[in-house]
Amino acid sequence: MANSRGMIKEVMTGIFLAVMVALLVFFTVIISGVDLLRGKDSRVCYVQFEDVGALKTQDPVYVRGLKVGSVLGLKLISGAVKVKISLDPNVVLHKDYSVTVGKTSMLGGTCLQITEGGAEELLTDMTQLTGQTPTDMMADLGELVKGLREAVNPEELRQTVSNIQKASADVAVLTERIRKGEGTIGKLLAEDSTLYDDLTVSINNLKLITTDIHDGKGLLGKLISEEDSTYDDLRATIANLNAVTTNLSEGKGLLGKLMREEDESYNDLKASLANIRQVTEKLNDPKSGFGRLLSQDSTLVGDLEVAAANIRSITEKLENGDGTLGKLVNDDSVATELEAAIKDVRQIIDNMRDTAPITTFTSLFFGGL
Amino acid sequence: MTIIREPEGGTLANFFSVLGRAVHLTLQALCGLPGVLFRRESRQTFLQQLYVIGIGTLPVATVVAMFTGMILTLQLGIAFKQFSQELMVAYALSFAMLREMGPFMTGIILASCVGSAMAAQLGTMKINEEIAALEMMSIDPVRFLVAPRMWALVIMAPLLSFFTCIIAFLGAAFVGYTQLNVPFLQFIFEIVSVAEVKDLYVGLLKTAFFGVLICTISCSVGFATIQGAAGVGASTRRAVIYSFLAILAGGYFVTRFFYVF
Repeated sequence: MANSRGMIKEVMTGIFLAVMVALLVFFTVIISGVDLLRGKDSRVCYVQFEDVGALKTQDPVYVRGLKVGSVLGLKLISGAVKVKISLDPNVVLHKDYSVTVGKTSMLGGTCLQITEGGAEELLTDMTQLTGQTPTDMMADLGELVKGLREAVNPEELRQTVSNIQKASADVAVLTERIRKGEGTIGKLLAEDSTLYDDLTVSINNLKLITTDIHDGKGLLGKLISEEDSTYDDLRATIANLNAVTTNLSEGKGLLGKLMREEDESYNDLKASLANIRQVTEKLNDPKSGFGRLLSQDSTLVGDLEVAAANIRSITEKLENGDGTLGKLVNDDSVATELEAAIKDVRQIIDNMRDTAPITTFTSLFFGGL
Repeated sequence: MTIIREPEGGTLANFFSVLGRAVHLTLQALCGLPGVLFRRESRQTFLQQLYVIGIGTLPVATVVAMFTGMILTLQLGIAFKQFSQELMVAYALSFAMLREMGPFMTGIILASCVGSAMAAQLGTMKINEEIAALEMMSIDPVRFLVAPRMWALVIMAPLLSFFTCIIAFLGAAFVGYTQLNVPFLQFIFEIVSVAEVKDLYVGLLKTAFFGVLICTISCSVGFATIQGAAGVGASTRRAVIYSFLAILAGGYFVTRFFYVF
């Protein structure tokens, strides 16, 4: 009995040992990267890199997101790193293939990513591939920050940050005002629906207006409506206006000629305007004759008024027959007598002209004696 | 030099004396492998210890490992779920279990179940003067009693550690499937994909080292037992405490040796 119990213990121990050792071997094989299910079919390739980043043995190899192999080993050769990988034989690469070291997640982990390429020509020798140097995001980021530091003046940066802080403070104030229901936006967001109601009414009105326009009511509606003749009238008017402006631009008509600088009418008008300007300048000049006439200080107007009054008085007297001239003007007998006297005088003069030579001779003769 | 010596005062010299005896005992026990394999009595003790260490602690190890894996997955899952990175739990668990938690838990279980039993057994034998009788019969108690136990621990502890890891992974995958909505097989696949051979074997080596520490401490304390039944109890307690401390300190130095240097 005791022997049998001891035997059972030994058997159990043996089974446990055997199972655990077998599991250990299996687990070791699995985590070594050996794919037991596809191991027979996979082929070995070599990829040469200048730099492999953090790539390590057993990292997966992906094509289009599917695992098609794993990294079997890495070897440093002169100026490069040779990576030995296992690859699914179904993977076909073209001439423009690419092999890069990628990240499996944002938190880390590396993998080989193969892009098959799209060129027509297939890659014949897939055992020797060339990889692209991986992009070190952190190093690039460091370079970027360094470049920014060099490019940006610290004072300007501080100023920018200060402005951002001020802007942030302003935004805080704005949001606080909005929260309190101040301003248009605040009122819109506030529980008080007055502004909202007004807005609704305005929108309704706008809707009515657009409806009227759409229905062809009013000038805008008529303009938009295809049936109405207003549009045609407007179009004809615009055509006429276009013709007028064309004529103007071509120098036709007085306005057109006036608008053309080379036209004589324009030049004449220009000269006339210059003369008028000179005349008006002279008129405005208090030293000139007309200027003096127009000057407020001139006594000429007063003198003229007095003269006009005197002339009116004289003419009144003449009309009344006062004075010699008035009598001469108003009494015909005086005129008649004067006419007769004039005739007598003319007769005397004619007589004298006729007797002048005799008189002259007699005078000379008797004077000489 | 006899291994049977009563503990003396807490002087520095005594500390080094105890340390020296422990190292001597360890070397003697490790060198006793041929005797373990070829001597019938030692071989029987060896097989018996394999059963005690392997099968005897299996239920406890299963429960502890299962719930440790489940708890770790649950706690890590809560954290990683906030970033929608539930699969990262598998990565973290793989590293944690293979590198540290598996060996540590196994060491604790062995120190509690096996180390205490060793200390009590050897302490009782010491009290009953059986060890003195063995020496009287020119039988080296270290080669006869300690070597089979040490080699049984060295062989069985790594396997038990591996078993602990497997059970923890299964428990974690179960919680991952039920709580984190990660498919069971995918969880296991992620654990395996991220596991590394070095992690596995350093963990196993660490557990073997823990086995040596546990056996050395337990046997040393057991051999130094005095004052009857009360002394046996005290020796058992001391063996467990010293083993725990040795496991913690030893684990640190092994990790530092393999991952820092």
